[in-house]
Amino acid sequence: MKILVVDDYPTMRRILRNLLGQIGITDVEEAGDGVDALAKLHSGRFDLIISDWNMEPVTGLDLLKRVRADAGTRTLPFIMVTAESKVENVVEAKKAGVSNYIVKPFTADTLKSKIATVMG
Amino acid sequence: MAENHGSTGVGPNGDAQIDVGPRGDAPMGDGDLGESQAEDRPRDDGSSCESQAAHIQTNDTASRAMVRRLEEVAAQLQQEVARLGGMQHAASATQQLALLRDELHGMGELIANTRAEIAGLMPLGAPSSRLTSASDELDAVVGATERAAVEIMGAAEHAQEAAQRLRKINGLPVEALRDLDQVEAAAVDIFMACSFQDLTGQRIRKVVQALTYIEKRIIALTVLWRGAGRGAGWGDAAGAAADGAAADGATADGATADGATADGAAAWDTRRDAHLLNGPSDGGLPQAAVDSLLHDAVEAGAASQDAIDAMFA
Repeated sequence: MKILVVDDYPTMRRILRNLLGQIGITDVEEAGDGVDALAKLHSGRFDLIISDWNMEPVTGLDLLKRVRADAGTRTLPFIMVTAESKVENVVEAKKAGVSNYIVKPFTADTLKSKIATVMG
Repeated sequence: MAENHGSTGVGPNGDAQIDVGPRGDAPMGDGDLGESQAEDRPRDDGSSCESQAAHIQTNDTASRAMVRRLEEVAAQLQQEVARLGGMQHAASATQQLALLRDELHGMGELIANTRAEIAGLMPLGAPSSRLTSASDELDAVVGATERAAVEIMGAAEHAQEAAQRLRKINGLPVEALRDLDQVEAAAVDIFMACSFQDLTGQRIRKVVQALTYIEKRIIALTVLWRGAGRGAGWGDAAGAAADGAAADGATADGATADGATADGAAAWDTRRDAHLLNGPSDGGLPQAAVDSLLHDAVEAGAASQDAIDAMFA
């Protein structure tokens, strides 16, 4: 399984990479923002996107909408991992087609559980 | 006219405090009547606090500290009452403008002091001479916490790698394997704890945005009064800073021309979903509630109002 981790904080990308390694997922690519993520999505094949929301200039929500608008990535599982935890955030992400939603700070078990859920 | 001159809060040592407000004990403006009128009024509020303080004074250190605090609060309240009295009687437009100008002056001082306190958070060895704005200073704080998090994560990774190497040794007793499990689990916990850096960073950046926004507006307003013969102290600095503010678009006209709306967030963040980007929140949903909301949304095709309402029950 190949995962694209998108977060503007290198610390969080490193945390996610480490946690994914702990559950046996080592094929991980990182993107520092939505623009970088879109470029990587066009140049490679991924099985799952794990993305932060609050990034600039392209936010995680924008990234999600673009992923869902592109025929090549429309069905790609997308987990939002974010500190934005208001109801309207979750509803907006769901409307945009998010596969699952993790609120920061989260546990390794939560991450593992959500990946298992979206990957079937 | 701004009427909020004071606030209650918790001091650095956890003790309750009341701030007089931006102006503190600064003298009133030219048009103020507050000081003299306040002196004419009875001082029951302040003297009663002082008498209560005297009554409970004991030899106990904690009590003495409390008495000192009460005395400070009484004095601050007296000043506050005097200033509010001045505002009530400042009937003319000139007097009200003078009060407004003083308030802006006071808010500028408050922001300058806040910036100085933020600068005090700087770690040793940081290039403070290069820091010219609150944004730079807080960015440096974020950078310092990020470096600390990276060092902690590096140490945790070393522990994980060492545990994994030890696992490859044949014939390890069950107790040792159990200990290795604990080491690796602890390393994961350390990694998760390091996510504090992301969350604090988001909170700090939000504060920086708000501070910068307010500061630019105050400086722009101060520019309007630069020719009024006032502005000693902070005003001089503000005048100089206003030149810089004008350079990046926060001119006096810009204060209203570039979208200084009641919903300030939209003014400083042009992203389409800026209205949703509030950063970490103590009042947000826990993971279980998010799961519940998503589950309901999946089943219904869209999030139902009932599910949303349940979140607030």
